[in-house]
Amino acid sequence: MKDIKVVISSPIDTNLYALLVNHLCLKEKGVSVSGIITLKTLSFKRINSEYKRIGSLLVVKILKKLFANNSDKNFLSKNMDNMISSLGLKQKSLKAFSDDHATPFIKVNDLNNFETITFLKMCKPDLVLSIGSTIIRKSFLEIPSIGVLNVHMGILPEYRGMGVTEWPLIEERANDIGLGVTLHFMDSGVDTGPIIKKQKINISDCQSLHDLESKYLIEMVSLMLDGVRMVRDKKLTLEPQKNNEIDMGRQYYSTHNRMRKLAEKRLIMFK
Amino acid sequence: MQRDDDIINFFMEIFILNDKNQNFKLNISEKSQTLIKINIKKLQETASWHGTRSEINAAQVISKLSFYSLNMGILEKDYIESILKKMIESISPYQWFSPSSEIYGKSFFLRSLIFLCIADPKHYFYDYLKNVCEHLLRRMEIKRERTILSTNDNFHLSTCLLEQLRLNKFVLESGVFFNDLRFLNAVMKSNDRIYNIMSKIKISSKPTLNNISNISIALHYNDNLCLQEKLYGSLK
Repeated sequence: MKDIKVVISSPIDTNLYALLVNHLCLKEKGVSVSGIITLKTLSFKRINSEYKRIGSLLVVKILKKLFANNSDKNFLSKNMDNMISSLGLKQKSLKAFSDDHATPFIKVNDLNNFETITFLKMCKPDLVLSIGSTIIRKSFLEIPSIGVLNVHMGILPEYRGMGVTEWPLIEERANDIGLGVTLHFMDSGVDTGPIIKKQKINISDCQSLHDLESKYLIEMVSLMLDGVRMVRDKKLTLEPQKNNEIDMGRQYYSTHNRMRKLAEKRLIMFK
Repeated sequence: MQRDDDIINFFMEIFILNDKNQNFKLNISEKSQTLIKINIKKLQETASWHGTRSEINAAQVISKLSFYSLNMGILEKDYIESILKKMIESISPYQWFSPSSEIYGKSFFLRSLIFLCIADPKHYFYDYLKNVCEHLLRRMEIKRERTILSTNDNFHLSTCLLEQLRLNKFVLESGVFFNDLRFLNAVMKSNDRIYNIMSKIKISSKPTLNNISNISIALHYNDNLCLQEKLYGSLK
């Protein structure tokens, strides 16, 4: 049987989630990584949009990224440390992976520009694994023969958009809807593509949002791999998000710092 | 271009901001009411949110009149409802805050709609308003403009600020009405974005138009912050 060809698209070269997914895909039978796309960290467009989003905190974020050996170092919990060492992940960047395995690699300003589309067409992927996804346009979505997989950090269709780890806590719906991640195919809407699988997360042992986020990372890696296996083994079942469900599922946006504090408070109270 | 530079306008707005005046009704004679209605009818013939300059101006005047009428009892509620109903027929929810559309004056219109929906939660305007709110929220969260009106479009900074503050008040009221915390979250961020300009505003005792305009801005901002903190405080 022919290997399924996978392209990994990551927001930065050192993204831990992308590193783990890439590492595990390389170990997986019947799966080959045919290309890696990352975004340039210091493009004007990106700085501009990040500045609009977080304001002067951007300076701190850039300094952290420039001076930290591993940009996700702060994100690591003990569990993650254990996971990384047990998996034998040695490379600290996607570029290093590409060098070690002669995988085509490109750094671009924009996932939807001509350069990316040309590279992607050359890779002829069956699947694109979108890590930390931005809006992806139709011209990109149409290239992979099967589709673009994404793991959303919230339960769909109820929680679309951003800040969806905090919103169920803020809205006191953690019991009702739950917190978790959703594997889905991407379409041109915001988290509106067909759902493949949902995975709820047990939050009872989380001391802070930081703990919660590292739990999410583990689940996201595992769910993305599940998705790749389901495609390889032709065991995909899709649950389309009906129009009325999308209407019911609100789109959420990033939380104000004080709302985030409220979410943390409610997380602790939840226990 | 447009500017909130009408002294009567300022006083009416400041008057409405005061909670103590909520049940105040202006005593207008029937004769005056008829005259106002004749003028509104004339305006209605041309009013449009996406027409020529004069058509947009007519829509803006009707918006303000509707808002003041509802809050001060200038004209009957049913009459205002019929005007608003006619006006929303010509504009779909997604057109309200599309990048090319004229924004100034829409805060009055939207606050009139929410006023009516609060009074009657099963109101005809409910679904329409919910849809418009979703579009406004998206615009505020994705564009993250300091003010939706831009000084680049020849609006005076005080007009941009006042319209934004009125919209923020509308968003807070909608958040309460629809029981939706995303609106409070959006206003908290918007109020933060405005803070730098607000902290530079100087108020004196001079009876100049600029000073009165600054007082109105400060009162609106204070009003928004009070409601914001009341809502946030109730979450704890």
